Amino acid sequence: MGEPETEEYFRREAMGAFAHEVRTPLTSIRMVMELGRRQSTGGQLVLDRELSDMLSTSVDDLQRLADDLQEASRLERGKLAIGTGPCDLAAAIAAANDLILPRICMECRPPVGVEGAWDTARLVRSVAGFAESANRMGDGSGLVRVRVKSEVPQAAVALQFESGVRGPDLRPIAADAGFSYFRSRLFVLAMGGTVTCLRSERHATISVRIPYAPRKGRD
Amino acid sequence: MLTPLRILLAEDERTISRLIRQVLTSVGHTVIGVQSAAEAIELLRSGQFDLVLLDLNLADGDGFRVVDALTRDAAAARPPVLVMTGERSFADDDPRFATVAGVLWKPFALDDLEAAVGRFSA
Repeated sequence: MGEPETEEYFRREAMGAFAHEVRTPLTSIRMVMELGRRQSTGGQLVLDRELSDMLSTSVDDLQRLADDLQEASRLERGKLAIGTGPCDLAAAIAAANDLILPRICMECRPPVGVEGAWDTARLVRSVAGFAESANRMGDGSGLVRVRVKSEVPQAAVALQFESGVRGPDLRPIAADAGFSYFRSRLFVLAMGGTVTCLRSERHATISVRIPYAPRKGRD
Repeated sequence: MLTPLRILLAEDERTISRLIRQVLTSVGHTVIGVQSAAEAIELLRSGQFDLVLLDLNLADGDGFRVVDALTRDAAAARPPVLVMTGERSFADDDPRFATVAGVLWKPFALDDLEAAVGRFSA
C-alpha cells in the first residue's frame, strides 16, 4: 500500500489536492479575462453577461476553497471549536444531498429518529464532502451508496460511502481523493470520530464513525 | 493557412469546456465536447478525429483511461492526444505522459492553447 498514512502524509496530500483544485477556477478566470480583452473595443475591457457569470462562478469556487483551507487550518491548530447542538441525522443527510445535487446523488435510507449532539453545519458538509470524494475516487457515475447504522451500545453512528466495484489491487488515499475528503476528515476527527478509506481502481469505500450521545429526555 | 481540425474535447469543467470550444471554433475548428472518459472512448471508437484534448481529471476517473483504451483497441483510430492538467507532479513519475503528443498545464493562456492545437493544423 506504500507510504503509511500518518498525519503528515494526510497534510501533504491535502495540500496537493488543494493546489490541484485551485487551478480549475484559475484556468477559467484566466481564459475569461483573455477572451474579454480580445473582444475589447478601443482598449476597453468588455465582458458580456455569460463571461461575467463564468468569472463570478470561478471566483466563488476560489473563495470557497480558500475558506475551506482556512477553516481546516484553524481546526487543526485548535483555534476553532466544534459546536454541538441537537441534530437529526436523517435531516443532516438530506441537507447534504441537497448540497451536492444534481452532480451527485446519495442512495441512502437513514434510520429515523437518530438525534445526537453534533455540529450540524459541519456534519452536513462532511457527509456531502465524503460523498463527493467517494464518487471522485470511485466510478464517477454520480450515484453514491450510503449505509448508515446507529450503534447504540457503542454510542456511535457509522456511515459508509461507496462508489464503484471493489477491485483486487488496493490503493492508498492520496491527493486525488479531492480536498473535500481531507476537510471532511478533519471535521470528523474534531468531533471525536474516525475515518478510514478502502480504495481500488475506480472504487472507494469511505467508512466514518462518529460518537453518538443520544439526547436525553426525548419521548 | 490553418487546416480546420475535428477535435474531441474531454473536459468536465463546463466553463473551461465552453471557453475552449469558443476559442477553437472561432478559428475554424470543429469541437465535439464530452464530459467523461467513457463518452470519449465511445466517440473515438465510432468517429474520426484529428486531435483529442483530454483533461486528466474527469468525473469518471483518470483521463489516461482514454489513452489506454485507444492503445488496446487495434481497430480504433489513434489521433494525437493533448492532455490538460494542473498537476505537474503527476508527470514526474508517470510514464504515460511520454505517450501523448503534448501537455497543457493549467492554468494555461489562450495563446498556449492556440499554439498547441496549431501544431496539428499547420
